[in-house]
Parts: sequence; structure tokens; C-alpha cells
Amino acid sequence: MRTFLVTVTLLLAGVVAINGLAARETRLHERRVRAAAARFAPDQVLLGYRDRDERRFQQARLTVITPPRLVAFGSSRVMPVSTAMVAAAPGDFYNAGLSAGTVEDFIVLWSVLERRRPLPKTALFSIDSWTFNLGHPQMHWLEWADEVNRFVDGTRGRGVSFGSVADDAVYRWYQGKELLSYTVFKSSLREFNRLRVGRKPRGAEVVESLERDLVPEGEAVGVRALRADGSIGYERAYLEQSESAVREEAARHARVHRGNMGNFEWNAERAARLELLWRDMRRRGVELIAYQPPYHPVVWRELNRDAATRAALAATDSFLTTLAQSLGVRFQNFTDPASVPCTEAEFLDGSHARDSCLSRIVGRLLH
Amino acid sequence: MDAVLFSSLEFLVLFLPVVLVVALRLRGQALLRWIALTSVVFYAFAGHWWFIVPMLLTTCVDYWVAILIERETRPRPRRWLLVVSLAGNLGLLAYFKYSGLMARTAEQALALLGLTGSGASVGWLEVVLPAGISFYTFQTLSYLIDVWRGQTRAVRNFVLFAGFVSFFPHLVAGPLTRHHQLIPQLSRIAQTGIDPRWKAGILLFAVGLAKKVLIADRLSNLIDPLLGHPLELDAPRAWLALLGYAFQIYFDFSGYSDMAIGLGRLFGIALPQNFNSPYKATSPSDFWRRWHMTLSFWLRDYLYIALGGNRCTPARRRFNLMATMILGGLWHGANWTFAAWGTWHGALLVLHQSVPAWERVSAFWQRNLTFLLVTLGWVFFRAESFAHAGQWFASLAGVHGLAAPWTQETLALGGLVAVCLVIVRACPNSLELPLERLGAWPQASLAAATAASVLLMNYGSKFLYFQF
Repeated sequence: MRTFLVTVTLLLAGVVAINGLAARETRLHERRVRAAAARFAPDQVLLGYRDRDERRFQQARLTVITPPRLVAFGSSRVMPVSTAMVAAAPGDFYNAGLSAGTVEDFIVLWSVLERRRPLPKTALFSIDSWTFNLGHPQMHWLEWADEVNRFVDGTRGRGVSFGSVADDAVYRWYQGKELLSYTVFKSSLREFNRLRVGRKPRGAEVVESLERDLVPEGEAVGVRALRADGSIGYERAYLEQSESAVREEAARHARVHRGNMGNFEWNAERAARLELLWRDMRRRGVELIAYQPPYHPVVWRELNRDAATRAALAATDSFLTTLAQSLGVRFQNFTDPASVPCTEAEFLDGSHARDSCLSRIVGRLLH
Repeated sequence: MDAVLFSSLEFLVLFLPVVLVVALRLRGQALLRWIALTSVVFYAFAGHWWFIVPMLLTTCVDYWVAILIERETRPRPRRWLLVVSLAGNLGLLAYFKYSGLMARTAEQALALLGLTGSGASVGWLEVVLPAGISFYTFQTLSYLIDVWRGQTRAVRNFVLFAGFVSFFPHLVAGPLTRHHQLIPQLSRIAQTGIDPRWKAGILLFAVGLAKKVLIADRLSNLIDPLLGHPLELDAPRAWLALLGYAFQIYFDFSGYSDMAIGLGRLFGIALPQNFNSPYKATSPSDFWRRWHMTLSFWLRDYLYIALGGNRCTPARRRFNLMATMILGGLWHGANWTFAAWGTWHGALLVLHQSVPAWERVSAFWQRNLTFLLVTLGWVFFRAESFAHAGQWFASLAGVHGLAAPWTQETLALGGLVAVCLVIVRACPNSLELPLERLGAWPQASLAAATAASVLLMNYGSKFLYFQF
């Protein structure tokens, strides 16, 4: 028994030590990312965006850019919306979309803009149907749970709440669990291997690559790149997928993930946070426009075959319609692609629309 | 917060140590209260807090009904009490588990009648299934029936009864533990305090964890992409996926049972064996004496025998077998494919009884034939619909191609299936392992497997049997 316990303890302690050392380097890296965000010029793009720490990067960008008149919030599904698509003057639009962005992320990014002047005149919200599904947990935002709770507590006129303490504890626990994660361990080993072969730490390399990958817009053709207005351009391979490959991927998304609407359970806390956010923005005179983006037609058909999913989609639509009416928010539900209309050929996968489809949506909402 | 399951850090690092350390210091009612309370907390974190409501309802009602049945001496009121409590228990199970199936079936029937879109949707009947409801309902049912039969005395200590229903090691996915197996042991530890079998408990838990995380979850990762596209499966990959699933469900469920039994040992409680090398079975009957044994024995004692068992005509006996297996199939899930799985096994049992030639075949071929027949049955169990099952069977028959280029994933699946085959056919099962006499090197190997499991379980899947 002693052999068993000693061996398990030693092995796991080794993993924790290696992951812990690598985590220290990651914290340094966050500070460097903020500094790098300030060097992004309007006529540049940032290559290979998905490798960056995008939450901290977007937050840093919102603190350094000239405050936009129109700002977009949403998940990756809103990220292709660009200055040209909304027909704004250069500098007037900023896309604050994030991968897996959700209400709590919108709150933190809005908190940055709220502290600056002038405030945006209009905010465009892309709200995913699964935003309010507890059965599809979105945890990325916990990284800045402190900032979310500060906003929620401040808006509700309270001091430190139990919610803030609990959320912080949950976040610390998740951080702690990462020390015993296989994925993190693999990445930590790569970090150590990098040092062993004489390369610089990842954080330092990322900053160098930020500097190297900030290139004039004309040089970035056919590659994934973040534009200075926060919108994203996709790589050629992603854009040139065949319609049948996209349809297959959409069918898989519907079957395996149920369009992220499986095991639907209403997330009342997130719904309340959205209401707080919108109420705060409206109070400050910001015009709000919101929409639910479309699914691929195959996913939409599949979701509507299932009574539970249909009910979940209806519940989400009903909540957003009612909330929007009560706060004077212009809201349109485009989950059904035919309502835009967008065809199968205008999708990149089960839930991400191409520019042509997004342009039509934005056109109907803004003009 | 993620669901707190046995294979989660929350359970291993936070919940279990706290529960054990406190339990070691308690005696009597305080210990029973602690076990019941922490089991309820575990249950709330394993799913949703409201899962506690139907469990508490069942516990309270069955506790009082059993006492009333025992007090009542007149046969007719006794029978009525039993009928009412059975209806309540089964009604609760039917509502949570089968209302969705009934809703879908009704919707399909309405569609056939051309009523779809007329506002006649019955989707509101879809409800979330509380984890483990099938297990604790069957446990309390057997208790009530035995009290009614006069085979056991009604428990007069509510906390003891609540501990029996909710004892967290077996609560969510068994073993389906009966009152005579658990209540006397809980009474004993209440008097003497818990006497943990540390080595046997921890090592068996570690074996179960490794079976779940290192084998079942790896198989799942390799099989799921294949089964997502049954129309593209050539015959070799369809068979590999089927064999892989046969091993996935065995290692997943038996791994969970090992962990549950290991946890029981840490409290000085012996939970019943649930698997006895089922893939070494030499006949369909033998398989059911080895697979999910606690459920098989429950169905035998409270359903098959109640229907007349073997003491009737051969035709009636066959009917009893089929009815028991179909209902046993439906117990596993609210989908008609589970009924088909039960029907398949019922037919195998009837055929086995009707074909004397089976006994003349050598044990080697009996074992292989049984394994093949049982494995084919898993198609119904895993398929999402009859259409999916049909496509899979067609792939097994080579309708979608006889060969395809071997990928790295297919080779990995093939290798893992081969290893599993050796383990299930040539190795002793977990409960046959001499864990208390394990040498230094086997302990170190098990420790390495445990450490690997802890690293990988952060991203592990749920237990398959949680949905039942």
C-alpha cells in the first residue's frame, strides 16, 4: 500500500510542479500581450489570431483605440463583421467579438468602454441561442469573473456579494485543476522542451510574433488575420470548403452537439446579467440592436425535429423578445436561415455564416 | 461547477476525504445522519439539486408505507397499501423516465394521423431524468415487497432507512443493493464505527478508475466518430466499432461498480458483486448470471418469479422470460431500441432453453458464440434509433463496403480492442485480483495507471449508466 501511495503522490507532485512553473510564465505573458495590443496600427492586421489570448487582447485593444461610435458584441459568429460591412467611416466601428463570447464577456468589454468617453452611440449584439443553456456551459469568462461581479454588484448597488466570492473560488478551483490536466501537462512539457533546445519562453516568443505578425493589410491575403477594427478574416482553406463538406460538418454538429441546445436548462443568472447590462447601456443613452444569428439549414431542420430543442429555441426567443420590448432594444431572430434569407452555400459550418449572409443581416438591422 | 462524479477531482480531493475523516470520528445516529446528509450533497452535485426532491419523496413515503404494511394485519388493506406504494414508485419512475418516450411516440402517432403542426405537440412532457432514479426505485420496491411478504421487518429508524436509499457509493449507478445486504451493515457500523478496509478499498477504486478513464473513455473517443457516420462504415470498421463498444460498456460500467465497491470498503461496507467476467459466459443464461448481476437477480426475484417463473407450462415460461427481458431492456432507457435489445436477449434465452444441441458444443465455442450473440445485441443498445441500428447492421454485413484504408485511429482502435479481448477472456476480474497481497511492482504499476487516470479524467466523459 505504501508503494502505491508514494508512487501516485510522487508522480502527481511532479506533474503539479511542472505545470506550476509553466503557469508562472503564462502570467508574465499576459502583461506582455497588453503592451503589444497598444502597437496595433489602423492599417495593419494581426496574423494567426487564434494563437493569442484573445480576451485579454480585446480588453487591451478597447483601452487604446479611439472609442468607436458603433461596437459589436458576440461570439465568433459575429467576428467577421467589419467596418466595410456596416458601412462605417474608418475608426467609427469596433468588433469586440470573442471566441465563445457570452454575456459575461460583453459585460467586461462594455465596462472598459464605459470608463472612456465618448460612449458608443450604438451597440450591436449577436446572441447565440445556446447562451442561456446551462447544459452547454461556457467557462471562458471565469477568467475575468472578478470584473463581471464588480459590474453586477455595482449595477445592483451592492458591495461585495456572496456571488463574487463563490465565483472567485470556482475560478481558483478551475485554475488549480489545470495543474493536474493532461492537456496542460503536454503544453508545459513543450514549454520546457523549448527552453531545453535554447528557444525563448513562449510568452516572449508570442510578443515577438505579435510584432512580426502585425503586417500591412495588403500583405495578408488568404490567411486568418485580425483587422484593426477587431473583425476577423478567415484563411483560404476555411473559406473554400466545398458545400458538401460544410453540410456534413453541419449534420455532425446537429447530431453530436444538438446545435449546443442539447440538455437544455435555462440559465436564469446569465439572463439576469444580460438584463442588467442592457438596462445600464440604455440608461446611458446607447442605442441597442440585437439579433440571434442563423444556423446552417441542415442544423435548423434537425433542431426543429426535436420537441425539446424546439421548446428551448422558443423559450430563448420569447425571453429576448420580451426583454428587448421592455428596454426599447431592436431585436430580430434569425436562427431560421430562411428568415434572412441565407442558403446552404452561405455557411462555413453548422453555425458560422459567410460574409454575404452576415452582410444581409447587418444591412437589415442597421439600415 | 462540473458534475461531481467518482472520476472527478472534486470528488477525490474535496468530497471523499472530508466525508471519510468526519465519518471515522462518529458513532450511532450521528454517523448515520452524516452518511445520509453527505450522500444527499453528493447527489445534488452529481446532477441537479432538485434531484433530491423525488428521492426524498420516495424515501419518506416508502419508510412510512412499510411500517403501515407491517402494522396492518388484514390482507386486503395490506395489499392496497402495497399497490398504492408500487403505483407511486413506478409512477414517479414512469413520469421522469418514460414520459418523454411516450410524448415522442404520441407525436409520431399524431404525425401518422396527419395532426402534426395542429398545435397537438406533446413536447412539454419531456423532463430531465434524475440520475439513479431507476436504481433507488428498484431498491425501495424490493424492500416494500419483502416487508409485505413478511420476509423482512420494517425499519423503524428513518435515518438508517435514508442511509440505505441514499448511500452515495451505490446511489447513482449501482450496484443495485438490497435492504438485507445494506441495512444490517449500516446498523453495525452505527454501533461500532466504520472499520475501513483501506488497502482493498483504495486499490479496487484505482482499478475501477483505470478501467473507466484509460480504457472505456479511450474507446469512446475512437468509436464515436465512426458511429456518427454509419453509412460510411465499411465492414471491418463496423465490426471494430461494435467490438469496441462491447468493451467500452463493460469497462465503463464494471469500472464504476469497482469504484463503488471500493468506496463501500472504505466505510467498512461490502457492496454486492455486479460483474463476474461476463464475456467468459458459455451461454446467454450464463451471461445474465455474470452481467449486471444485481439487476439480473432483482428481475429474477421480483418479476420473473412473480410472473410464474419456471413453475408453469413451457409456453408460459417463454412468455415470462420474454416479458422480463423486454421490461429489463426498457429499464435501461426510454427508447424503443432498448426494448429491442431486451427482446434480443429474451429470444436468446428462449432459444438457449429450446436447443439441447447447445450443450453438446465445446466450452470454447459456447464462449465464442455467446460473446458474438451478446455483442450483436449491443447494436440496439448503442444505436440512437432503429434507422441507425439498421444502417449499422448493414455496415456489419458489408453493404457499405468491405474494406477501407486503415487510418491511425482505426489501428489504435484495433490495438485497444485486442488488449481488451485478452483482458476479458484471459485475466481474472477485478474482484478476483489479490489486491490485499499485491507486490511492490504491481502496486507501482497500478499507481502509474492511477496517476495517468487522474491527469486524463479532467476531460473524461460521464458514465454510460448514469442515464439509466
